[in-house]
Amino acid sequence: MNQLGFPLLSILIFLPLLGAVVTSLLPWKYASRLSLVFAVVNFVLSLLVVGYFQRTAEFQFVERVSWITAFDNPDTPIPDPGFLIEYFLGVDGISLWMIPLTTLLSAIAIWFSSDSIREREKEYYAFMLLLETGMLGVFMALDLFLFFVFWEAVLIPMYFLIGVWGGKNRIYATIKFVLYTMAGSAFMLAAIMALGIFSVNLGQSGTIGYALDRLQDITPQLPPQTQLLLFLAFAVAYAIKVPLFPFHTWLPDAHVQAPTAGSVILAGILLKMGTYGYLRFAVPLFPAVALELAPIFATLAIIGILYGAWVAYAQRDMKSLVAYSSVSHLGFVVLGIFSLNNQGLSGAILQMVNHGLSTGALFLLVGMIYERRHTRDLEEFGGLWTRMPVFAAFFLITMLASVGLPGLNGFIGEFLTLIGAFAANPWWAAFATFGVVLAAVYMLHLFGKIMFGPLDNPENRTLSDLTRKEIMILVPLVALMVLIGVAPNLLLDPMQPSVEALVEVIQTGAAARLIP
Amino acid sequence: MPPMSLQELGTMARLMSMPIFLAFVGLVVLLSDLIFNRDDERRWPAYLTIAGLIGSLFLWVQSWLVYNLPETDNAFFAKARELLRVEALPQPELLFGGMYDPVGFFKLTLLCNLIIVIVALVVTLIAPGYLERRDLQRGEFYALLLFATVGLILMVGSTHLILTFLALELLSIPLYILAGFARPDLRSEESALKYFLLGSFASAFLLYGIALVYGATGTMNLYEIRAILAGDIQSGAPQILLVNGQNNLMVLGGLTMLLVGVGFKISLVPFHQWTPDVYEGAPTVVTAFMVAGTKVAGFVMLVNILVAFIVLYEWWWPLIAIIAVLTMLVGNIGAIRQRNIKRMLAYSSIAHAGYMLVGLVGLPVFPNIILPTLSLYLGVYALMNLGAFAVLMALEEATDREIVELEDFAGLGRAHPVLALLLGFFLLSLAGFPPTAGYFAKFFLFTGTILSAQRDPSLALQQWLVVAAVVLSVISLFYYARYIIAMFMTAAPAVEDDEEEFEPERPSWMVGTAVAVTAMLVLLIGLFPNPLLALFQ
Repeated sequence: MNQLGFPLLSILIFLPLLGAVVTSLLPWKYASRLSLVFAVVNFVLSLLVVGYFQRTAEFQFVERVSWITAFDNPDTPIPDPGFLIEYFLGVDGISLWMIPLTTLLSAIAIWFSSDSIREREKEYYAFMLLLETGMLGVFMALDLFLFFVFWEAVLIPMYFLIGVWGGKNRIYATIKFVLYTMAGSAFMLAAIMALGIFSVNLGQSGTIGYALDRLQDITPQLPPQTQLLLFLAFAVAYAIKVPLFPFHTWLPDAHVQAPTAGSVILAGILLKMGTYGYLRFAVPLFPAVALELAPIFATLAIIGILYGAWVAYAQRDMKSLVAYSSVSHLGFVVLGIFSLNNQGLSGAILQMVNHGLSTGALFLLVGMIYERRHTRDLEEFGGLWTRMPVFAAFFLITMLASVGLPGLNGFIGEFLTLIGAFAANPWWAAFATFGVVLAAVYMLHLFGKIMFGPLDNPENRTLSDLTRKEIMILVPLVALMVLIGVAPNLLLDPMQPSVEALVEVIQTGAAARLIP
Repeated sequence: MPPMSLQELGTMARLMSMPIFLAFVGLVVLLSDLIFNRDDERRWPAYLTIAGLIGSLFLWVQSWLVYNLPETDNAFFAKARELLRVEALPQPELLFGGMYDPVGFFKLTLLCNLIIVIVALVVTLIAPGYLERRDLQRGEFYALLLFATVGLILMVGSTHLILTFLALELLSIPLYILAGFARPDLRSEESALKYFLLGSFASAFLLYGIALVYGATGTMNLYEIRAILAGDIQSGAPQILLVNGQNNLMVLGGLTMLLVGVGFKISLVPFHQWTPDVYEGAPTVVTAFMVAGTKVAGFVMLVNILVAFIVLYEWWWPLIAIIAVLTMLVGNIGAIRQRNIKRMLAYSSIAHAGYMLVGLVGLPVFPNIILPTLSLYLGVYALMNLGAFAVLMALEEATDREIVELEDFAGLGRAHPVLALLLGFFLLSLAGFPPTAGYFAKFFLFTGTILSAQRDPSLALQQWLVVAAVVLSVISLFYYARYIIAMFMTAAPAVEDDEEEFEPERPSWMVGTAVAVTAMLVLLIGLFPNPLLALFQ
């Protein structure tokens, strides 16, 4: 069934679920350590995926069994289409790096929480692990029905994480988050249902199925109008998740109110579910429409890049600043995707990993300072460089990675994205490049406000530097930033075959479009 | 009808054994109340009822085995049949002089019998604690519940309008009494009176409809009505259906009256106004029975009637479509306004009836997809509502106070995390949130509906019904989630002393079992619907 001979992907998905059950059954004082053990084991297991990954465009570690088969009555006069819903998992170059990223950030988020979460710990860690299950499922599922189940399942734990352990305005934030996402999901669900029904009439087997490979045979046969509608339905759901301008308004609220670990996961992984959705479903299923609409999405992405950066500069709340910077950075990812060429797509995928690492680290750093001062107001800080040199060092590297300094990871991703965008349309690259400059502006503003200047706030005089544990939490992230910055081919190489295959799908779609 | 042999009579009695047995148990329970009259023996009628219902589950398994005889030939079923001494009937569909069909179209009736018994079982499990807290522990509660259950079983299996009417009354009269069971309580009395008045009204409509249909077709047997109407169309010599080139108003009027009567019982808009008041005022366990049991059985009755009038499809489907839209709209919008969970669930049950009606519109095109998906929906609907009520009862037991208003839910997530999570789970399932059973049920029902619309272009409108249903079920998340927010994200009022919070009382084993069974079923049907679906193919 796959190159390992055992269902690695299922284990990765369901081990955290088991962890959630075990954690909630045992006494609360073990909750944090126990969940950390599960998360770390899962991370180590996820390295197997990287280790055994072969450099091909095929789906690997595939697990495929029928999950729900129903309502097929062979003895009725008109043979009935039955449902054939599959439990279909697999990894290719596009999803490869999202899996270790998810497991790593989950483990780090859980580890960080052991100091900051002081109430209802059992539930908290159970929800964190459930969240991991859902996210991994999203990145592995290759049956749209299964994908949708995981996609929605992610909402529940996040809803509770923000709503129970969040800040003052948490209920407003969590409802906004859920309603926005649900509204998008409703469109996607409608599109999935429609695709299932088209699969009866156009497919080979005459059953209602949702597996990606079967749907890919069907979608080119659909009339252009239908393709357009279906693509839009998917695209709206993903655009809300990314979030693409103008669907981004839920994000700052959710981030500001979420607990630190929630923000890390939200920015680091949840947002990538949206961009991943484009890469995995929306674009390959409807390449012709994607090409047609690419200018619109690229424009929205560029507006997001510039607007996000602009608004980020105006924020006083550190978390809110980082949240808007996410809008800007994710704009680059979407721009890369809708360049629809090799460089753009590779850059987008790489940038998904980069943003996870650097923004995750930024939220952790903000969280660490929040633990000490219980405020995130930029005006309260200044001159911390002298009090907290280690903190400042980590902050500096992370900030520079986020800005896109050559030698660190952000540079490679943004550079590839911009090359891709240039190849698609030079104007896109021209405007997007301003985003890089603006990123430097708001990030240096953030860094300068906190670190430089006189240490004039008396409350800041007593601040202690990072503890050993906090350093250990940050080291893997910073190390990866440097590693990817120095040797980006480690990541780019394995994803190449899949990216090339995707580009080929897009070109075939483009060719098909020429025939009216 | 030819006279039947003694053996045939025996087999028939066995296939009808579920209602017969349950009626008998009802009588025994009624008598047992005379024997167990000491205070510490108050629960014995409940135990007897539970035993009787579990017994009837075995009878259900037996009838299931009979009707799966031709298809299943694996060793396990063969052995089971041998042990139960089940043999096939020559003509299993029509029992009791052609008035009772224990299987139904696509085994809808068979499945619903199981749902009904489970409903009664769960209600009996959660009732004793509730009745004791309200000081209402009287043995006739269980007897009435059993009679109502018999009424439900006969109603779903009835193929004759007279039996339908009788079964409906057998159901309704105990329910009128049960609704007013908390007698000194004014709301309960109001509930009973309202239910009685409007119920009688509905019965009158139903009776008048039956009379008109009989007048037009000369029969009250649903199968015969179907055959006569179909023959009328095929023969081209219309005698009944068409008079002077026009629709026979007698048939159409009769059908409309029947729909109005059934519509009252399953609270379709615009015949729903009684529902929130009755559900709110009735004792909570009775509400659970009405929400889950009556609605499921009434729906099957509606299907049976619509199938009998299937050739008049062109005429009745716009009616059903309009009612479906109204029902969904009023149910969902009404639910948003409610701050009392019983009233909210009343409106939500109206909304769910609307979703199911959407499925019914496609009935003639794809009965073999619509009816199994509908039965799945009915089962899931009953289970998740029962689950929600069971958790409510468990919460009341654990906190020792009444929990119905939204404010009562504040802080429950902290004091009783497991129960609160379970209630959240059932509410999410009601909202149709994946990966719960409610989502799968909705997904299959709606996909089946669209599929039938695809096959028959004259039904394009139906797709928009599905769109409306999907949009409204997203909106519905809002009012279900309100209780989750109250439980987990708002603090409890500070009046309680801390002792109570740290030592939560555990619910009794009966309520615990009810909660566990419903939760397991909803979870399992959600994740692995295959075995259940396979039962009814």
